[in-house]
Amino acid sequence: MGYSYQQQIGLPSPQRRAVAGKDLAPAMPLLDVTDLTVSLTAGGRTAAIVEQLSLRLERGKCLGIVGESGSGKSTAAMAIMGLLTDGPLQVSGQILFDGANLAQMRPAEFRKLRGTGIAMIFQDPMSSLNPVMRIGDQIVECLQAHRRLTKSSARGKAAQALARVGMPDPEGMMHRYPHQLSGGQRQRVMIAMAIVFEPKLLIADEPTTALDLTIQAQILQLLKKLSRELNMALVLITHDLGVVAGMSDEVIVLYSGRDVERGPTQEVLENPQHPYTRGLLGAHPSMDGECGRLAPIAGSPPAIWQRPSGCAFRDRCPAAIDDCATVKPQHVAMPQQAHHVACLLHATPPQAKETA
Amino acid sequence: MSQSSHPALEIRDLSVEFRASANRGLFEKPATFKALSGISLDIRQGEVMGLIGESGSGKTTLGKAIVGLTETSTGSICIKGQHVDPARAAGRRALARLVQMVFQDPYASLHPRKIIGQTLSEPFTIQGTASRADLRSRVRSLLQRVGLSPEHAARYPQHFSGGQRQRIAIARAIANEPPVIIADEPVSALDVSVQAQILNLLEDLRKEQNMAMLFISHDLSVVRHLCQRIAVMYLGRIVEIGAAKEMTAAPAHPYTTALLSAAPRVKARNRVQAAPIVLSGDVPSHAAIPSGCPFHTRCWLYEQKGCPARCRTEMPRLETLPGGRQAACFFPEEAATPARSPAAACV
Repeated sequence: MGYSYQQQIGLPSPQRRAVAGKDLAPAMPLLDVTDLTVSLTAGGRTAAIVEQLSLRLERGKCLGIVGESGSGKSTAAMAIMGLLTDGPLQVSGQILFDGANLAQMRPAEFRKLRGTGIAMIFQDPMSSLNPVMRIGDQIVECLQAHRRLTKSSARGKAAQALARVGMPDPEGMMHRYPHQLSGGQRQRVMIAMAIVFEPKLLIADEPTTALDLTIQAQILQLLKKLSRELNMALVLITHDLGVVAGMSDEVIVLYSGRDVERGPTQEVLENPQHPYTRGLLGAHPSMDGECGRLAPIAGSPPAIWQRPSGCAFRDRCPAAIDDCATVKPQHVAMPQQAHHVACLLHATPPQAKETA
Repeated sequence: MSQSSHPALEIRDLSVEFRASANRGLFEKPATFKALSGISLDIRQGEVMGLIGESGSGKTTLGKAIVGLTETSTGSICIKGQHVDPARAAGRRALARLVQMVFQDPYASLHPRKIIGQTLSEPFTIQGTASRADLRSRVRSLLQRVGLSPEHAARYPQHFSGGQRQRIAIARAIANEPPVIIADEPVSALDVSVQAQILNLLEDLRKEQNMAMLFISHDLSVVRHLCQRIAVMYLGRIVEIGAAKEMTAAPAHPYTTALLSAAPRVKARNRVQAAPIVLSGDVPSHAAIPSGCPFHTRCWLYEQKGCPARCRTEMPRLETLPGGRQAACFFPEEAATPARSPAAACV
């Protein structure tokens, strides 16, 4: 092949490429992940939970990562946060954050970065908050872990953070316990804690899945507002294509640990190229238009030890061909800028490639 | 089905009260709060009624009250014209013949130590609807009806995926072909790609068996797809009820409009262009239901109309509108069109 895997995936946006072409120093992306692989070895076998994931994210932008349970989306986020280093999983690949290689960072250094540079919020705010500690004390604890602050100035900052996330009566809230708050309020507390140091990157792992639609709308609006105000990049992990549609600039669709399709959100959702993305869009009933019979994807996602060879989706794919069993599909750029798909149906046949 | 026959499920003026035990003095009377008040609902045979609302609106409580898992305070429930009283122990077995429930989490609703064959035999043995000799073949055909293979009867729940487990839970519910099924968020624990399989199965079973279903969900697109009619609940009351397509095209209650506006849409052309209506705050507590219209504290229409005193003082009743829809709002004609976001007209 004439070009490397890196060149095929994660291409910069057209504007940036133009700048690079003029030999000006291209702006470094805030987050630049190359070939991130997280694998699990057990009983002499190795399986990849996340396989060769590459992504780039600019300051202030939002990247959506969509996938079903078990697709590896949370594991990828944990790997970026450096939370998997002591566990049974092997992490490889390069993670550049603001120029620093996170994969080689010492634990003490990384701990300083977490919270101040990169922050993360999780799906279930109740299990992320300490149930026997007042909200205010939890935020103060977080503040004092990173900065030398007096109790009173830390409390002032905590109240400011709570006000910033739209909490009514921030001073009063400081004295409450997590169980006294509603789900939406707890998620606001989590967000307040995450943005207290104005991080450059916020990873939100299913931040609204446990919430009602009306509260989900509030939280998404809040994340959007904060990202704009703080010029904070956002990685939004979700299973809901609708959430991504309204929030992210770019989207990556994960299936069985592999990035099967990526591109500008609008382009991917309006013009999906991978059979899995198409399947996902077809399987969900629409809010408008006719209610015909739904077209489900057959079967269910494979367990990590039972992933088929070749393309992991081939067992469930309506368009699978013989080659799918043997060839691992690589990313192919679609004619539309920055839209990439990993599917043999879109790959140039090998003969044609050789002549080209 | 003749027009004169009874609806499959008929609920009249149903209320459920809970006692709050916390935060009271030793000699104080326990505070009670109404989880459901004055619910009236008919579901015809072969009809799926969607029930939507935020958490705490009483959707699940209503489902539980119908199958007798929650004590009711007032009101009546009739299934196929037959008055049912879940409180009487003797009535419970008879009730189980009339109504069955499918729960949200198929990981919690199946007995982990029983093979599927045992789980699915129980409805027949308890109701005495199959002889011992028939039992095996009944279970086999039941599994086939929900799209599983008869060999699955010998396995434990842990061997199945979420979607398969939900099929088993559905098989258990339909074993004795009850006229009414309560499905409480049956697809919300499932992955998107599997959801559609279960929705299609429910649709097929409804057609085959002509059963009535109360489908509880928070996912508007799913409800719109599956249900003929939708009831919207807020703080234990039904605020709007009507045909699914018409309601989602032009809601007659501002709460429905807000729910529709909050639903994420995948396609850009379907998305509300201007800012969606984002309701402020959370659902108020049942212990302190606002005066007048319970929704007025979060209502965008109330603000838009300059806070009419009527909304604060008078409780709007569920009124029938032209076209047969019912809504509990003083201004149903204006509920579909928020002035501050003109594009919302396409909701």
